[in-house]
Amino acid sequence: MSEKKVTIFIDDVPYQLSTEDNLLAGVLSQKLNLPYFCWHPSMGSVGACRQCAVTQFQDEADQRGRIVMACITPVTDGMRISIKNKAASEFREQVIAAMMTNHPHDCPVCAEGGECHLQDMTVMTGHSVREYQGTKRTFSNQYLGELVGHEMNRCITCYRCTRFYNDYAGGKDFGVYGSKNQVYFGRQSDGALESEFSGNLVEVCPTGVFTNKVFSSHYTRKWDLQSAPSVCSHCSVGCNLSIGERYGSVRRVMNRYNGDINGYFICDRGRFGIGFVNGEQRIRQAKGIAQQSTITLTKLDVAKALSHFRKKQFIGIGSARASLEANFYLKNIVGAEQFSPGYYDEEMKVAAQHAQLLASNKAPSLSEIENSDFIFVIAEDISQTAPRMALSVRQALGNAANDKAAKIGIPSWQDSAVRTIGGKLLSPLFSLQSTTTKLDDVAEQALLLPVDQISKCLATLTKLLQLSHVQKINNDKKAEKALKDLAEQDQLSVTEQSFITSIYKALRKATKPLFISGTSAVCAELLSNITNLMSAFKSQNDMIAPALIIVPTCSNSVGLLSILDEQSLSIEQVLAQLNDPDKSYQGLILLEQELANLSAIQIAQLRKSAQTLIVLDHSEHRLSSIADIVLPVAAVSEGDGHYVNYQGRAQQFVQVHVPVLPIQESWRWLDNIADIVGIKVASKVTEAGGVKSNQHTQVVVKKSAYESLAQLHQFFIDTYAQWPKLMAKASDETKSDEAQKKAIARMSHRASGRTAQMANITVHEAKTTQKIDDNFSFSMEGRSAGQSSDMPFTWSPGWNSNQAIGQFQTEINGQLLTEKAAVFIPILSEIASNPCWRLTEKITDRTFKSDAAESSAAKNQAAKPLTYVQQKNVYFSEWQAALTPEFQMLRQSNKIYINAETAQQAGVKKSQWCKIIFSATNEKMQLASQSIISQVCIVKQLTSSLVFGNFSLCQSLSHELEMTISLACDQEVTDYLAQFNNGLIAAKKSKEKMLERLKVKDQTIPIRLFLGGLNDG
Amino acid sequence: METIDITTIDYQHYLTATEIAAIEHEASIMETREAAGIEALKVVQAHRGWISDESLFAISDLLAVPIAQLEGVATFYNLIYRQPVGQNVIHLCDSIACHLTGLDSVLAAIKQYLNIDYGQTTVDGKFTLLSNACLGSCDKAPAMMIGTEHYQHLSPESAVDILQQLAVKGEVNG
Repeated sequence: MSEKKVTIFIDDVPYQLSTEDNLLAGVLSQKLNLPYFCWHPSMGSVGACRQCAVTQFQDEADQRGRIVMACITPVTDGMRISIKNKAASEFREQVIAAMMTNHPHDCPVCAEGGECHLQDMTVMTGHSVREYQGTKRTFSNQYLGELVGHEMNRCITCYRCTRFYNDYAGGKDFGVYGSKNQVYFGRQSDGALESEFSGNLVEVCPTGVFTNKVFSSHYTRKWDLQSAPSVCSHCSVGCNLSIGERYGSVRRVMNRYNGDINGYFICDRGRFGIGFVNGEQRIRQAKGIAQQSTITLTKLDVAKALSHFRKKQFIGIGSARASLEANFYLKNIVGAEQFSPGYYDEEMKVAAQHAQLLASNKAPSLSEIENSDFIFVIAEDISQTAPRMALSVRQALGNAANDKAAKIGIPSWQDSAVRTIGGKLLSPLFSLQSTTTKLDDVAEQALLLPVDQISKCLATLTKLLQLSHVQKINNDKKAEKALKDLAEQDQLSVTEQSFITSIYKALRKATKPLFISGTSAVCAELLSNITNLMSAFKSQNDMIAPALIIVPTCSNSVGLLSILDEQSLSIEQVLAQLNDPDKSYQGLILLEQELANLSAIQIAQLRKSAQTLIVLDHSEHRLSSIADIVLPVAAVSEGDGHYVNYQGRAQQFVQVHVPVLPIQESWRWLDNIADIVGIKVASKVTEAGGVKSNQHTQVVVKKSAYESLAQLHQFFIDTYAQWPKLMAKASDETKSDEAQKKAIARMSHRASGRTAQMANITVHEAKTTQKIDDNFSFSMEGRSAGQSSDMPFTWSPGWNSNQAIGQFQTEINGQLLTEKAAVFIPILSEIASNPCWRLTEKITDRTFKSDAAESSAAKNQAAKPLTYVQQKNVYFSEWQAALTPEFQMLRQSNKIYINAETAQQAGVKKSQWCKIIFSATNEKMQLASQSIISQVCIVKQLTSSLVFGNFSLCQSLSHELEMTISLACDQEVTDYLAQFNNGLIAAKKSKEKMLERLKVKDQTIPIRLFLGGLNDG
Repeated sequence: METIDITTIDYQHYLTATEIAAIEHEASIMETREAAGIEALKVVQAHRGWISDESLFAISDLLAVPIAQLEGVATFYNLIYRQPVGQNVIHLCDSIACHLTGLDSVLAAIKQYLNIDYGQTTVDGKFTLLSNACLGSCDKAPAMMIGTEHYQHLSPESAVDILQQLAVKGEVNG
């Protein structure tokens, strides 16, 4: 927001308001109450609901004034308005009265009850008497999938849903039907909503038309939820969330405003993917540890079980979904030389390239993305792997229309006017992918290529940049000619050529260009070509060098990256180390690591090679079932820790609720392990240059147990120079009572009282659970949510819905009043400057194939091998979220995308069911093959060497494949569909079973009065 | 698990060559293809009397407009019929002026004569009765519209007369 402020008089009191935004936003920025429905801070104004009426006066003498709608009135210097004025307040009351004629009185059974914007606004206008005696119009509701519920009778026709779903998020399967008093919002016919952002309808709708179906199935009122500020654990964007819990189970996720990142919206993976926390697949008991007491596992039990590992050497595999603390702790327990991120060789190379790119290019935040005027997305389907980022990209494309409107004096908050004048005008988006994506509809050009070809195109673009700088090419004609020559050298097709030309031309005009790529393609060459491209930009001055974002796969990928060093092991090396007869490893510790990339054979090899396998995880997977010791760890809502997002921004997620013992955070388990195994500390005396500091590493015995995250951080800070300062110093225990008093309440002040907190067990007023150094209390007692920089939930007097956030912003869409400066984690300089891992020289024993792809490629050259790429999916591309039963219920049957030529050769047509046999010859000269029954989809501009689909191929098939397609016979299709339907039924049953268990558990959860690891049960 | 029947509508097989040509003509004179949506609906309705789900899907396919958007257009305009209608659709004006000048008795007469209520079609398929927000003939109220013809200053008798004539005319023509 610009700083241009003018004085206006509201009810004769002078206020300083920005002229950049409309009057309503200005009034709300002053924390004055003015009701509204159709306006939304990030979607602007349309003036549809007539709710924000105020009286505007001509001048000081004018006593009568005229009614205007604040949301479509610009702020002008010296303007005089009245909110309290009788005419305006009666008008507002009558608007509500009219809306209420059709609004049902089903508040007691409405999921929105207690946090309903309509209810708040009704109270705000003073409309408290029901006068209308007539009938109410009724509608039939639609089935909108497993995530969002529909109750159309509650609709007040504010149009916010369609403005969000269609205009803001680019959805296609939602609309407005009918006219007058019969306006209907929904799909054309029943069916699951297709947008990745459908869950935002729940927050965007001012009342209960769209509700969180998952929350409704195990419901509690907002005021009875215990909430804490959290961070999404499902992708690398790091959206801020507020997670709500009651009686030991997570109930729902709401958006938590962060002006730099998610603003007001999150994606469906973030909102509904939390379901895994309550799932049937959770690990709830320790395995491989004998428990002495009948009640609970104690530290002594753990110590006994681990005692024969005293000072033994383990190899540790960390994970990009585990907290920064846990990864760092593990690395220092096993030592840098025995730590692996769980990546295989190619992924290690990618990680090295990623680290280098991240260190040399500051990645913009999502709000910065929205200012871009040119975006190029390379080999990363962000619409599925980082959906919230794709939503910001979509907003950036509106900048062309905003500029056009600004030229004729229309401000950007005039939403419908800007859209009308903009028409189909969009800022340029180029997309170079291996699969179709949900951003293709707004891309100026979208080209589909296999990743190696994408890499080649980038190399050519780099050459073109260098050439144009050397030869001083300053017009498009010359550039085109230069490119033609380059393209011939590099053997690029005409399509690829024209794509590069268009990008080059658009880049010349761009003032804020942005490139986005990612690690999904697992191609180090691609990232290295991006590095070259970025340096080509930096060494010329004709064009503005673009900002760069590399999207990694997990919530803490960058956190993991930040603790890797040149000694870190790849999976191949882990196996080689374990099998090395010269080394004697006790075994392997897997930290929240399912090693999804390994084939069943590789898993078996790993198991065989590790004498002891210790798995720390929250959910069952292939490795937990074959481990010697399994330690149940806390999921994101059950513990404290930090994730580092794609920018390197470290964000803390705060424990929402107390897990049932023996579940505890993985760093607490690691603390128990460290008590026995010891930790490694690099000697403070490092040689000049510090090259071989590892030789001075010594095992030390830990002095005491670390009972809180702050204590652990203090220990890290004291011991390891590289550990960043993320938390305030741990206060000593004598002052803990005082700290507790200053704590922010996790529950609302209107929670049904302490006697209700554990009403499922007892109505006696229990003592509040105490936690050392926690800034939040497990109670409704404490300071209110708004006083925290990380608000557990959003509430303010008179504003019960999430729209209360306006009361806590410096101004509308501004920073939070209590905002803390973001902390960015640096990437270790050894990696950033020299991505040369020891893997390149040290691997002798190749247990896994890695050159196999190359050799089989050579063999298959004649047979035109092809690349199969699995489409990314918002529900299933992240391991934890995919465990959510509601997502499993939304699975879709197999689809394969091929070009028309391939289809014709195979004799299959669009939407027909076919049988595809993929085959490849591996390095042992064995033929691996897999057959898939799938529906055919035809994509026009697809090269025949690229095929993509929504199913996964088994790992034993390498990239270079052969494919035979034939029509599937009826029996095969029937069998496949039966199997597919059984999967859906199983998901539905699993959901029912989970709900049944949770509802029983609502009656009996154990009480924990003190927190801080085991032994406190 | 409940199964859903899926019908794939391909405009080339569903719409006639004449309809496609007429729609393509409209699309060619518009700035964008989706802008031809309303005209396309009119074309198909002129040929088929109403817009079925299949017609809607076919137009959506032909113009590459999302089905939800096209349905929004189709249901917004009261002269696009999303349900089968009779040969003559009576749009009886339902505005304040008509109510003041005797709409109630006209409506009662029509209902009695045709033996149908609002939203219904006579058994012989000749008439469908719909209400219509203001026809713009407040000075000549009560009013109704049938096809492209406006009828004003209605009385119960004159309204029934008009319907009788139309019924006869329909028989001569049909």
